[in-house]
Amino acid sequence: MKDLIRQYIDAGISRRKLMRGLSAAGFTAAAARTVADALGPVPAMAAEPGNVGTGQGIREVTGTGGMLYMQQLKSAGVEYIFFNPSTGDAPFYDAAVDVPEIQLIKGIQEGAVVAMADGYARLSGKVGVAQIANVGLPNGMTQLVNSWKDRVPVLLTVAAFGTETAGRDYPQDYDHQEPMLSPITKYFWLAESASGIADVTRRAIKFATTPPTGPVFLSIPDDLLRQQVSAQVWDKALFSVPMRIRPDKDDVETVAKLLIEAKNPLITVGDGITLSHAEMEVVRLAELLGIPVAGQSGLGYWSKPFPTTNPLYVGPFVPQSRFPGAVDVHFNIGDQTAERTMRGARTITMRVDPIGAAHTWPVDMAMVCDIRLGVADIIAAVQAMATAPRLKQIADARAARAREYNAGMAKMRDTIAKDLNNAGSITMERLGVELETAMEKDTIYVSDCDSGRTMDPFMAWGGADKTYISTGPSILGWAQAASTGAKLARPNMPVVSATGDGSALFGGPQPLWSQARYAAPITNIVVNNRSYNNERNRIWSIIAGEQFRAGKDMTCYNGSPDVDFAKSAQAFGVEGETVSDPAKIQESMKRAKRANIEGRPYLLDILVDREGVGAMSEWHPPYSVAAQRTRKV
Amino acid sequence: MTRIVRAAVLAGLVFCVPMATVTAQEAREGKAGFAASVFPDGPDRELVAVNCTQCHSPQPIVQLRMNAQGWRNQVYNMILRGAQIGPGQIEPVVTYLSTVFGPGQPFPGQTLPQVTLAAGEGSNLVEGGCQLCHGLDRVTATPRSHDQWQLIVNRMAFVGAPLDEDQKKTVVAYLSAHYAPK
Ligand code: HEC
Ligand code: HEC
Ligand SMILES: Cc1ncc(C[n+]2csc(CCOP(=O)(O)OP(=O)(O)O)c2C)c(N)n1
Ligand SMILES: [Mg+2]
Repeated sequence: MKDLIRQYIDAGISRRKLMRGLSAAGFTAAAARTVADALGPVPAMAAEPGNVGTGQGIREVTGTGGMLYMQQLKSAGVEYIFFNPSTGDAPFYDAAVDVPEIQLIKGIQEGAVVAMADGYARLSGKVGVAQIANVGLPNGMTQLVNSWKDRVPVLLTVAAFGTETAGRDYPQDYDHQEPMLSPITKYFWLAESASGIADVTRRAIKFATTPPTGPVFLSIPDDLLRQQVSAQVWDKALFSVPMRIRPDKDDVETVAKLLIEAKNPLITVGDGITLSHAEMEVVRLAELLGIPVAGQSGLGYWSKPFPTTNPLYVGPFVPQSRFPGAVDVHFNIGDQTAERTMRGARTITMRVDPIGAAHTWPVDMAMVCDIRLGVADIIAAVQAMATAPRLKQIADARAARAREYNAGMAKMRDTIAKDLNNAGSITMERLGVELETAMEKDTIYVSDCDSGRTMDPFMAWGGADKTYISTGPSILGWAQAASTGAKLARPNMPVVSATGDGSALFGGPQPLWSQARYAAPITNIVVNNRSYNNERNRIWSIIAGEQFRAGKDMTCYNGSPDVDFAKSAQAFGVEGETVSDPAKIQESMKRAKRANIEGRPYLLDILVDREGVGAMSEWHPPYSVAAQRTRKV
Repeated sequence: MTRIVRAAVLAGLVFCVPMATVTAQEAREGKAGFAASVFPDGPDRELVAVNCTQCHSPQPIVQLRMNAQGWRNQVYNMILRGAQIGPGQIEPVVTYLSTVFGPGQPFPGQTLPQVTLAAGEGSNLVEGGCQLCHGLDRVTATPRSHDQWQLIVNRMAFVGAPLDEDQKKTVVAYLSAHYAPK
């Protein structure tokens, strides 16, 4: 059996052959599949198909429209509904009384509800279900933009105004809310009959979860939710479209050959890898050929799919990189902005999403496929084209250069951290170093922290290290809520949220209420510089208008009043403390960890330096309403 | 200040559009249009023209004047964001920046506005030390508290205002006496 496994890993025999071999060796089909999965790189085959003709996986449900919806969610494997209620959607929750398989998680602002569902979906890979009041829909839409841009499968449902009263302009009614969702969903629908509710619910889930995944919106008139009906609900497997699409064989061989023969290849990585769960395959490909890997830069990414401590990782992508220098073959795996042209280089891009590929910049070859399968195929083709010793020779030579480059970079980061550590107050760089020490290696770090971009390089991400989750578009007010969803998806992993003070105020402290109610042990960090710090830097530097010239920060200073985040957390049922001394960060993180171990969330309000242009200024345009009065009331 | 680059550079930053990108060869040959031409001649100009324009235009750079330690911190910050400056290149880049965009370097095409300072002890220090890098209009534009002047004057000294500790105190006292909120 050892031989068989070696052949599978090294010589690339097919998975089918491996499975046959394992079953000849006495393994059951299920056990053989487990072994094959553990060995990677090819994802599990679909389970044995059932037989819909015999009614397998199909149930007849009789009850209210609300019950039909809930039963369809249950059959689709939904475990949590993130919600905030209103009168019209009561039939959902009446049904919930009898559907104990689905746990309700309440959020007290619609943005928090959607962001919790989004965080849950990102970490679980399942659809995140959010239900909010129709009148509160726009509150939730802000956070749905994050889901849309990052291709996160979220089902957002509202009870719409009733079919019979639609158009009467009743006090709360603004009819046909669906088109508002048009630019930020893959699919939106208004249910038109009670018996069709399960049907539209299935369709919505199918659209959300079929790659390229994304958010969907369902609007169900409240009178339909109350009607008694009978209809079928189906198991998820009966309406799942796995999209295990492999790339074209000829393309695979072309890319394999280019990567082997390239003088100076570069791989860039993006969120498509995370969505396809292809992290391990990408590491294998890079290591097989010793190809340096560049990560994402600026805005527009939400995960860090390649281990930043891997010697082949060379930092964020810029089109003219110092290392590896003049690239001749640029293989982009799953990133949108890394399709940017590198002078002199062929650009090949592998994407799950045909719309995103070759969308903005010219590319020489676009491959659309499941990234895990696509990369596995390229690995197999590479191994078929060159002997193992030859591959090792190529990889060793390339990797040696990357290793040397990396050693230099690590030293430089140390110097920077030391030089920028003024000991008296907390700089971003110092905070990065401290958090790297304090956080467990397997922490899920949920970040909504604009200034955090300069502390992130001091922390280790991906692979066996921490998981980094953020949002590509940086629509703020997401992380505290998203971390709550993340903790539900991964209750046995440490979860830390990091937000700027601005972000914490966009989204908080409402998510803390949910953390307290459901005893979600999360460490919440507010990186508090009492400013929209990076925003001011961009306004003063990039726009560079009158505010810079006059030295007047008209918009970004947040102090005065200074928000006491620890106190506000306490008001919402979460213990908190303020940290201003860099030497005390470790102690505070320990207290947070202790609370988490005991099952409680915690908040650290960490006072950090403002940095950049105009950082010292606390001036803001003064105005007092009280002073305007002629009558002191 | 003259608007050197009018394009929507924010897009360059945020969405990584390769605006104003200059190649090494173009920088050497001085052919790269405004991006290279706004960086004055000097040793290692190329390093800056190429590596400091991959995410944003030259605007944020050319509008500042700072000494070496001010520029070093700025360059550190950019390296953490992905600027391709290597360990051996930090000092050459800092030297270039603090020379051509150092205290006292003029802003081409711009005359600093005339400002008459309030009379008082320390006004000469402000006059002499506070318009090396920007106009005095920026100093007098906004009334600020004593604590604020303290922080700002410290920062200005850090980035290159030529004031010793006693002079800083005098300047802070002067500014808080004459340019504080009523
Ligand atoms: C070495 C160059 C330099 C000198 C000299 C200098 N400044 Fe500045 N000043 C700057 C820069 C650069 C900025 C832009 C914002 C920043 O970096 O904080 C600035 C901005 C300002 C601002 C706007 C508010 C702020 O915090 O940005 C004020 C006020 C100011 N300077 C006052 C002074 C005073 C008072 C002096 C003399 C003591 C002085 N400056 C001398 C470089 C200088
Ligand atoms: C990898 C992208 C990238 C590169 C390369 C880059 N910058 Fe920046 N730069 C940024 C970003 C992002 C900001 C806005 C920072 C913020 O949001 O606070 C910025 C802002 C600035 C500012 C305004 C002050 C501030 O801190 O916001 C200056 C000055 C600056 N850059 C100088 C440089 C110099 C000098 C170089 C070359 C050594 C350089 N940049 C290269 C990304 C980059
Ligand atoms: C919901 C939302 N509103 C407004 C913005 C615009 N914006 C971008 S960054 C920023 C300030 C963020 O401040 P903070 O979270 O404190 O981050 P810092 O830069 O200070 O680290 C704002 C308002 C946004 N991105 N999202
Ligand atoms: Mg802030």
